[in-house]
Amino acid sequence: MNSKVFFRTRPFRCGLVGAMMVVMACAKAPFPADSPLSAIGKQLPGAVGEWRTASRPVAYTPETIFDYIDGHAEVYLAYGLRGSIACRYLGPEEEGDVVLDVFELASPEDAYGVFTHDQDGEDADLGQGSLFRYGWLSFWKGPFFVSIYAEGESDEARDAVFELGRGVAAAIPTVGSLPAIVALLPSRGLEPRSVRYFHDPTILAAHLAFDGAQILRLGPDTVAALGRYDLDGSRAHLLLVGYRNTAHSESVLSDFSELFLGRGDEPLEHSDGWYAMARLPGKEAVLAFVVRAGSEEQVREILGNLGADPKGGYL
Amino acid sequence: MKEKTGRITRRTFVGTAAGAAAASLVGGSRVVGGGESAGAPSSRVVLIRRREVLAEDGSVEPEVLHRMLNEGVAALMQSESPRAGWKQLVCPDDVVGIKSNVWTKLATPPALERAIRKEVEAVGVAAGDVAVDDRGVRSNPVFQRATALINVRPMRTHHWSGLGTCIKNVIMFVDQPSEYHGDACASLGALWQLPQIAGKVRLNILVMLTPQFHGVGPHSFSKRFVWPFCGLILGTEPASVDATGARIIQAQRNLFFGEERPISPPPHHIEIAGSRYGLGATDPDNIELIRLGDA
Repeated sequence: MNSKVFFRTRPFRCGLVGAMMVVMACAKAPFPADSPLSAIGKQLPGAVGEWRTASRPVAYTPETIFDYIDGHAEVYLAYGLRGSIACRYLGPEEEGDVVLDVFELASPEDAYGVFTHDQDGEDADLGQGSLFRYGWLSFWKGPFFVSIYAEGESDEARDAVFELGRGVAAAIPTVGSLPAIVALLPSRGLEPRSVRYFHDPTILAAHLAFDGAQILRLGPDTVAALGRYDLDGSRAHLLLVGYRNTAHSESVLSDFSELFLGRGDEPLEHSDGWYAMARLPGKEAVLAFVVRAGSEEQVREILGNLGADPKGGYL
Repeated sequence: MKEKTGRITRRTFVGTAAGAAAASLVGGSRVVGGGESAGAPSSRVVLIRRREVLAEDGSVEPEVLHRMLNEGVAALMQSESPRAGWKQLVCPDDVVGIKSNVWTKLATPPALERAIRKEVEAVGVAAGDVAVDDRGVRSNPVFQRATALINVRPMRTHHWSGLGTCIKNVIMFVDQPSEYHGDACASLGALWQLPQIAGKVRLNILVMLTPQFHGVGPHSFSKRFVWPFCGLILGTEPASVDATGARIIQAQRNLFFGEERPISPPPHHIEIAGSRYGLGATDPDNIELIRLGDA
């Protein structure tokens, strides 16, 4: 394993989480000692309830993250992973462990994007957005996405997860803004838990696979917001993509028209539903794509709502 | 020696019963009892279940597992004995790579790897001509000169492909597996046209002892989302094996969540592997399903 343990510990008291805390000092740090991630690592509690750290937190870089996460690391890399720290808290007798992972992404918008990747669960009132389901607490704050997972199912394990979550959230001093493109999703009919923010086509495919998606030319230089709409019992997906300039968006528009709209610009029905595209009013480099809509009327309503929200849209 | 797979409680054994209900979903296939013929289906698949393959503490009973393997091979090859079935699969002069899966949360049971190796050697293949590997297959000298492959892995949900399947298990033969992640790994079937794989896979075994039907978190695993199904699925055509396993996973998801909860992303690479790459029937009407044991 190429990962490097970079914290040493010594105990001290922290009233915030009501548990023994430990100071983590840097040793062979893959990040600068004064980096935000190191600062969070230094404030991690040594214990939450009866769960105690098994070892010092371990740090991972984009190059070593695959040593730790097998099969899912691409999600974090797709949002510009800068680094992560992991810490396992050993549970008492008959209890599973609690596993903490903190990921620093390229920006707060990207941390939000990781958070939107899995939107199951109940609001947990932590950070800038949080969810709890099946022992797993996730939240984002600033450029950080935090995951805390309890292997056991007891109330005590759940309490430990939330106590740890509150401690980590308090250790993150910054907050960030939501992606501007997400705010452009019209609010009428939008299912809030379906909203995703991303850059990478692989992330799109995880949420909405459709033939020809590669012509959208998603990548690090694009921003995208996806939402599912339920209008009068019929569902559709709206994908907004912001391109780096108008020339970029125009070429995508042309390709989409050829592949999905019979070289026209009117909605067209395919075997899996209606497809359509439009430029956003006043934002020439932002394109809207309607995918798999139930009817032409639904397509026209969604497109008609673009830019029509008095408060700006979803947010 | 037993191998740990997780503690089995009374509740999870009840889950086995739920698994039995889940397995009933595969009833859409053309089902026959052990050894009985059902005409001329395009693909034959064996589902064998033995509750006793897992001890109460969740450990694998190697001898039971070995017997299940042999029963399955005999039924699959329609042979009078397991040995005769193995002899239809491999020859003494074959060089055999056993493509396993080492994912730490849910790996191919070593007892099963040992059982396969033992049967292959019993056919007459030299010990030095058999190897078990996963991530090292590209540099493994036995795999490099392999004339036959046996493909064995546990089934689980997968972040990019919907399901980790036998079709997907050969992805370690390529340098950049992530290149196949597009469109929910739709083109995984193309892997089977690579020269190091094409025509070499003699047997696919989908391990369904404790399959994973859902995943959460960065590590995509939770003990909450595995259950003691106590089964193996065997076939010579990977898409048919995987399609059968996928229906069981989908049924268990529906039972657990109390509603239709489609596998996400959709594991359409299975159907595509069958229709586009000729890796077996995926429609249950075109699969001859042989149920053995508790199945």
